[in-house]
Amino acid sequence: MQNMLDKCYVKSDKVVFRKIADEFVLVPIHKEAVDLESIFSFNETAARMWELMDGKKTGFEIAKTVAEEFKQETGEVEKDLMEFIAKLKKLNFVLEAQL
Amino acid sequence: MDKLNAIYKKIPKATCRRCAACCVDVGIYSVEYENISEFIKQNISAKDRAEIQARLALNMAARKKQAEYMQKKNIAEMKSWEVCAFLNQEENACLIYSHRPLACRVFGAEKESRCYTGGLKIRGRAASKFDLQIWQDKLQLLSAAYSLSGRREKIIVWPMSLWFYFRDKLVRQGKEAEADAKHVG
Repeated sequence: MQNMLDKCYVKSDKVVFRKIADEFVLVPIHKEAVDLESIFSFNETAARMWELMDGKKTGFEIAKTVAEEFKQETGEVEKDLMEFIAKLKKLNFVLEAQL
Repeated sequence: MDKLNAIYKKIPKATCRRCAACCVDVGIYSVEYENISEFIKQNISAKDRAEIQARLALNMAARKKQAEYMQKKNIAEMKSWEVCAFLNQEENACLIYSHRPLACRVFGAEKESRCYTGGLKIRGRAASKFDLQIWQDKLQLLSAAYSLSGRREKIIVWPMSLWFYFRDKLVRQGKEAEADAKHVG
């Protein structure tokens, strides 16, 4: 799992997203009309993680930035980030960046 | 749609900085909805159509969250959180520019919707003399005439997201009458 944070992640082009108030809302792009049930929203911390996934920063770098900004333990943020990345990968919302 | 295009052609032209700050979810007439629908079917790629659908769903989420926010903060009116689903935000380009509705063509021309970036100018006549009501009346009349042809029972102005998300969805499900009934109010 630690290996996961060594990598950089890039957002999929199969999803559209927008910051709405203090949440990030994601909608997968389908051929068919999108059901409102398939909309995902993230809280502020996860939204910041998502924002930082630019294909250049590693998971460790993202976790460090988020921990500093939200005044949290880096270890805890790393754990949350790994879970978040795993979820996003499963949904094909992020891809590992090819460096 | 020739009559609609004839009206559009008479609207004083505007020049703008293309900052897209005003590209929100505007209200459009039924006749404009039909016009844009036809354009989309014939000119927009399946890939772009899928992205539009996803952005429409985003607008639905924004609409819901904004309503909750306004209720919580007891705010009666505020700038919409919805971004036009037909805006390509990477290039600030309108995917339906040639068929854009009246609200987009006249934005900034009248006092109430003044372009707050200061970038928009109306060519051909002073902005202070621009009367939006004239153009709204023309589209209202055209929508009414269109309705009398039996294709639309109710004439109202509805936000684009609602036309293209909810109405299209109901029409796909074969519930056109239900879709039209929802336009009341």
